[in-house]
Amino acid sequence: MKCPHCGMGNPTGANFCNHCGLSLMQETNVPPPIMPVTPTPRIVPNPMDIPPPSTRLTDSVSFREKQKLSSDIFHWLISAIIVSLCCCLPCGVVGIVYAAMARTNLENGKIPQAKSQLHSAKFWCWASFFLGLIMIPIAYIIEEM
Amino acid sequence: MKRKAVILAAVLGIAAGLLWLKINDPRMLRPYVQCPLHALTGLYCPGCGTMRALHALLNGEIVAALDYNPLMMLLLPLLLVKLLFDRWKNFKLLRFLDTPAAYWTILIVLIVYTIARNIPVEPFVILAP
Repeated sequence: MKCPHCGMGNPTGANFCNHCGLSLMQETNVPPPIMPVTPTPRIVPNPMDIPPPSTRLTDSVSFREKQKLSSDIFHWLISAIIVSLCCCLPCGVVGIVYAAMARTNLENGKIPQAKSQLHSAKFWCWASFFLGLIMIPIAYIIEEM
Repeated sequence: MKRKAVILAAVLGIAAGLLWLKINDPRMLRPYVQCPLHALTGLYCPGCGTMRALHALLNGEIVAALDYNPLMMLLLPLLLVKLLFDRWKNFKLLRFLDTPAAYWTILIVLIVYTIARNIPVEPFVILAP
């Protein structure tokens, strides 16, 4: 099934798009076009089966937001690992700790905490990067003396 | 558009860096390239030996690469594959990497590895570069 929002393919019967998180349930609930010769009776879905449109919208928005946050945290985890190897080990490790804490909070649904910890992870990554930029030339100078 | 340009620049940069590493042996460079932690304290960080390991790997010496830095040779390809296939949500093989447990495991493994490769006793010296 193709997602109407982003056009990515999804397994048939999926409730949400695997790519952008848009609810695909609306698509399946659209009644088939009425044939001119033999009009088929419209299938009225049981109102208990479908959540009201407002909750469906917020569900898909928070799902998409969560997916975006989780991939952001993952990218900053990799950045933290790379800077802790190449630039400044202690600051990079703090960045990894914050990324892990943010991921744990996201898993538990504490999104504001996860966001602020992601912010801290970014800060420590950049701190490690710039400390590395300063430390590597100093290490060279000491080596040369 | 901007995002694509950034990705393209990163890929080109990495490719150029790897080509440079394939041609140049890091052990022969003067002044000797090393991480500031080792230059200042003499301790090995978990990344020590990565350049030599990549040079060995790019020239086909896999055993030598694993000898220089076993953890990086195993961890970095995993993370890179996950990063590359991140948009491919049906790629379930590496989905386990994106869980809180995996994050904490990576952190603990890095710390234990750093301590272990600085112990100058027999079973641990194989981890040192």
